[in-house]
Amino acid sequence: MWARLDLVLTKIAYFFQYNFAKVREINHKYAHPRIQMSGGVKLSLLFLRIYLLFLVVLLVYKFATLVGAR
Amino acid sequence: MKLLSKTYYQYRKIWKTIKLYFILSGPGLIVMVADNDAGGITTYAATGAKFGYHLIWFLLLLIPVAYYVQEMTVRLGAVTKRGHAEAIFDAFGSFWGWFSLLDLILVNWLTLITEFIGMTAALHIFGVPPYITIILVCLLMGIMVLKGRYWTWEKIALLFCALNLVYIPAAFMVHPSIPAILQEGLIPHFPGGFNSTLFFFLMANIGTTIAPWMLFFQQSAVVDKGMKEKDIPWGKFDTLVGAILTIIVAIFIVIVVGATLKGVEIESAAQAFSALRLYNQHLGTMLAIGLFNAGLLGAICISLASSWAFGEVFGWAHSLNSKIKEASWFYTNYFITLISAGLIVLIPKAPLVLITLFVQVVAVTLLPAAIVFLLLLLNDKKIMGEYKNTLWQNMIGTTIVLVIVTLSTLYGISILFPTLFN
Repeated sequence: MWARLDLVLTKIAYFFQYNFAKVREINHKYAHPRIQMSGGVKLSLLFLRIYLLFLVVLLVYKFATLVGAR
Repeated sequence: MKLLSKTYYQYRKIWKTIKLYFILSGPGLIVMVADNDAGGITTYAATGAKFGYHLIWFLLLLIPVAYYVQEMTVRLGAVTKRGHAEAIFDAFGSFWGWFSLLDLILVNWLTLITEFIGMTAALHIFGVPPYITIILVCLLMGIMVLKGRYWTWEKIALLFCALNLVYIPAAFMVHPSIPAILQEGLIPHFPGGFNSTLFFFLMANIGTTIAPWMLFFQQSAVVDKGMKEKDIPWGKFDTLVGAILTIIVAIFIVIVVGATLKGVEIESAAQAFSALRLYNQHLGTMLAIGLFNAGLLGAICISLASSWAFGEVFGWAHSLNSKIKEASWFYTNYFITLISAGLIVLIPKAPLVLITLFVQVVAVTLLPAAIVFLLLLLNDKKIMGEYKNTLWQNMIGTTIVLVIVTLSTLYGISILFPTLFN
């Protein structure tokens, strides 16, 4: 039984190791954006960051209020 | 004799064109009709019950919006031969890539739950227990992807798309007043003034007509189908037909419910169709089957959109043309997404209504990001070459982005200050 458990744990560990390595590989592969970073693109991405942050805060607030009211 | 041969030549030419369309059609039609999923049907039914025919004009406005957004994915997929997730990683780097991918996975999973809610509720009308529905759906969807190739899957999906048209004859069965539809529905106005309730409904209708998963799905489907640059006009036509069809179905749902249940507070399409069974049993039965079909079609597309996106980014084999052994991660992802979403619906006292509400809202608030990326990608000469956006396409695209961003922001503000629009 212990041997089987050990095998399962090894497989799980391998799964995570493999996927973390894969994520690192993806991060490395796409480290540099290929799109031409013109002023318009940079401005759009900056706007998007601010905008999404704003929306996430609003949605979290709404969710917390709804859950609190239940 | 000459006239006869000319007529025969013309006939052959037209027939060839139709055959070519049937070969190349699919992604646009499926994505658009699947857009009328269980959540969508609920939204349109609730719109009909709340406002009658008064918001039909608004639905008509969504045809060009849906078309212009989706046709960009056809061009991007056919030119780059890459799915949307991979295109974002490649163009904008890993930060935005992970953001879009994880975002998509979350929204898709939540949406898939709503599809299961719709399907179980629809079959519950006929006394089928939820767990049976979930097992049947998982089996059916498993067979669809494992037993064939992309083409087989697409043809079965198109069959389900045809079933989505059930709402059109249903509308004729309730004998709606045509003058009332024309008078109330086609003149743009805000029934009862612009208030937070109306605003919520407008947002929900946008959210259900254009969703982030659709961008990812259609682009991946275009790639999996193997469409090339020369097929772009057909892909665009396919998308246009789909856009018109999806809105026509939406309008007919509004008409069915608007004609019969106006003023009734409804929480779900299943509840509305259950009530309609008392009005006309055949009608209610037809609509309930339509709801199940809508949920199934949505589930088929959404679970695939997630698996395709993961496959593209992680470099797994990710085609429906691949066998299980060749694309084990792709199919594992597909089934994990599917089964886990189904199991959530079976949890007693799970906040299903809250999930349904949030999925539309989260989708519409995250949509701007997806469209901005699309617009930026379509403007990159290095990526798109001669297929990059024209000035006219950019003007339309930018207007759509601005309208969606403005509506999302206004919605956000209306959450913080609920009395602002009253």
